Amino acid sequence: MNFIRPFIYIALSIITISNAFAGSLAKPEGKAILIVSGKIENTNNGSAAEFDRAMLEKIGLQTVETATPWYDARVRFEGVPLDKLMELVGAKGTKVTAVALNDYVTTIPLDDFKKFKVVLALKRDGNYMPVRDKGPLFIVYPYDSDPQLQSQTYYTRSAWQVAKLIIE
Amino acid sequence: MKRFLGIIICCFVVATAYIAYVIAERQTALQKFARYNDSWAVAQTLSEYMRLEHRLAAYALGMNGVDRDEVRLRLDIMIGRVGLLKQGNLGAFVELDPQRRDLLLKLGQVLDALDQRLDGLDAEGIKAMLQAMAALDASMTALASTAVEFDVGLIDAAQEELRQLHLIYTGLAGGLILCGVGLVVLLLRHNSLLDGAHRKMKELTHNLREASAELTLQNYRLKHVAHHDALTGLPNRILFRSDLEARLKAAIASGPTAMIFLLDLDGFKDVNDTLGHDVGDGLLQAVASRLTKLSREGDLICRLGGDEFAILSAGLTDKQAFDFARHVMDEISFPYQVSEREIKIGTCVGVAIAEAEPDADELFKHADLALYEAKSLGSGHVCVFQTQMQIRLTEKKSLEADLKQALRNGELEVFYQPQVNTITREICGYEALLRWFHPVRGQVPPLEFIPVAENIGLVHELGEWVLRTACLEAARWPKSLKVAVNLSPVQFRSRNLIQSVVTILTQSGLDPNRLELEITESVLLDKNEQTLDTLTQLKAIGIQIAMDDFGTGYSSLGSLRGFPFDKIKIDRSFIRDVTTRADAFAIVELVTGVGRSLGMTTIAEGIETEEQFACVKQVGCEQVQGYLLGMPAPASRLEHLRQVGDYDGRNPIDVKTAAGRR
Repeated sequence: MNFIRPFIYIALSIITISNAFAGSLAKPEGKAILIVSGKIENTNNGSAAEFDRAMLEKIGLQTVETATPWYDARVRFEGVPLDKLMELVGAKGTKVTAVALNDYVTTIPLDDFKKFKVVLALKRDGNYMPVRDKGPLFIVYPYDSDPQLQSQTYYTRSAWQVAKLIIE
Repeated sequence: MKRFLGIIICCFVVATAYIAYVIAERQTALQKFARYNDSWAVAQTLSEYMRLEHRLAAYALGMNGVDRDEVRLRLDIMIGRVGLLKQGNLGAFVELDPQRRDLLLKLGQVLDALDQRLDGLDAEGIKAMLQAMAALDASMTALASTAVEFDVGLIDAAQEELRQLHLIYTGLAGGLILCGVGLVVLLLRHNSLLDGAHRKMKELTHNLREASAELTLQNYRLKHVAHHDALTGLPNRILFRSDLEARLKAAIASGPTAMIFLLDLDGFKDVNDTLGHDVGDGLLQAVASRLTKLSREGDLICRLGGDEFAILSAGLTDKQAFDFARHVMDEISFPYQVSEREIKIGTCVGVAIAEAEPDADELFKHADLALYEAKSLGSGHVCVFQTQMQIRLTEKKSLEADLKQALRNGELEVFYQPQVNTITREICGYEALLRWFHPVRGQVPPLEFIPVAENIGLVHELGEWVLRTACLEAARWPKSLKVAVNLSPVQFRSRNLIQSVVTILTQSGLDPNRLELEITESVLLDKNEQTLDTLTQLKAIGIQIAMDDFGTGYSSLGSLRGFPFDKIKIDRSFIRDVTTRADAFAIVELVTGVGRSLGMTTIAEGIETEEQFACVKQVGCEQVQGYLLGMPAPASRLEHLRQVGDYDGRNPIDVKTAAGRR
């Protein structure tokens, strides 16, 4: 894994740069599972950027292994680093409002993503998460890495069944 | 005090540590408030359940925008919710209560049923399903409320814990404040103690200062006492000495020439003895005050001891110094009025003027020497030190040293001069005369060395030796011959004179009647009990006493009355002029007459001519002595006297021949 990661980073940066230059995103081929809207520069559907699972996975996955209040054991999440995603869409705002399938709404400062390496998880313990298990997308903080993260503030920001991200 | 401080510091440390612990505990307690809000999740589950029911009903009614996918999404979400209730904090919450477990089971069954049958459900099926689902509505609502209750309970417990911690915290803070107060009290007490100590110290310092001042005063007084004479208040020898040194030092640094005027009072001892010490002291005070008035600016008047005074001066020429000394002497000589008596006392002054590279001791010696010189000239003389004095002194010292050695070296010899009967011209005795033959000096006259012997105390030894020698010699002579031995006044005052005379008489075997002791008038000058006692004792032994040099002293006739002398020796000064001067002849005639009347033998000494012999014979003088009758001769010349033990003395030696051989 370790020797693959640099290549992924290089690939990612190339994509990011090319995308930045392109100014727009490719259209999702499969079913869109995430719609990013608001103050973004790169779009593929009007003023929004839509992503299917493949597009998200193409950004590159990052693993977060941590204990959570929702599971008895430690859990290993794999997902897209949100700061990369924000870069990809050219987010210009300061905060992100995440909207879940069940209409749960939470607002996250954009800084959090870079500061805490927050991921938009696709997989739990190696499996894609279905809606029944907080899928398809779950905003996960690496709670174990910082005691500060083990608090109400960050637990409420950790939205599951995420469907939309609105940049403000 | 220190223990209290230690305890307080310990309290501080413990309290601080405990506060740190309490704060950590509080943080943990606060954490509980920050835990994930479970009741929200449970309430949300109820909400999702209701929404599912709603969507299902809407789907059955064929409402717009609600399709099977929507229902499935809601179902998936709900199933997700159930999954949430089975794990983590919510799982634990459900596990606590069997009813909750049961509810969860039923919920799972209902949802499973819906999940399996959703695709094939018709309106009727949905209705039945909704009824089944509605059965759980109440229980789900109850679950939500118990979750809230549970959370509230947890928060209450945490709050209680926090309250406890706050209480402890408050207590600790109070304790800390108490410790602080204790510390302040301790500090105040410490301060007051320090203040006390400081006050005490100040007091001590004050006392010390006072004591120091007192001591300084005492010291000054002591110094004054040490440096001043108690009687006259004049500086004493110590101050004299240091002042002299200072003046000499100043003189070296091209200051004025230093000089000492040394004076002592003539006959002060007599004043003391005759008029008493009180009068003597009064006289000294009067002299001191007169000296003080005489002194010029910068002079230092000192009393060196006894009747010895000194004036330290500077910058006078020899002439000025001499004049000043004369002036002082004249002033001192004016009569004094002491204890309603008029006292007149003279003085001599010795002056020493510092020359190149002077030394305090040396200069003082010079002044002393000058004074000695002045005194030797008699009362009322001033002498300025001159180098010859030093030479004379050296000479005197050398003479003294030689004299001390003389007896041991056999340089002394006793000579005998015959005393002859005027009528018969027969020798009736000899006078023993001491002679000193020094290998370098030659013959030293007795007038030169006897005073020296008296001064250095050698006269006792010499006198005794002469007496012994003469007695031993005379013991071998015919019994008709007497021997006359001179006694110096110094010798006469010796307490063991009688003892030594008796011893010598016993040892020599000489008949005391044959010994004649010659004393001068000066012996009688201090006529007192002891003098008379001594004379009486000597006379009682049988010894004859002769008065030597009669007529030269003070009150010759009075002394003749005071003691019954056996013999009077008319001084040679009268005999010298007896043939040429009427007054001398008259005196010789008088003395001879007095002697005859008092029953005392008279003898004329210094007879050198037949005329003189005839003259004394004419006035009736019984005995004569002199060159005409025989020169003093050593014992060896008298050997003929020793040949016959019972020599009758009728065969006189030819004195002229004996003298001629000498």
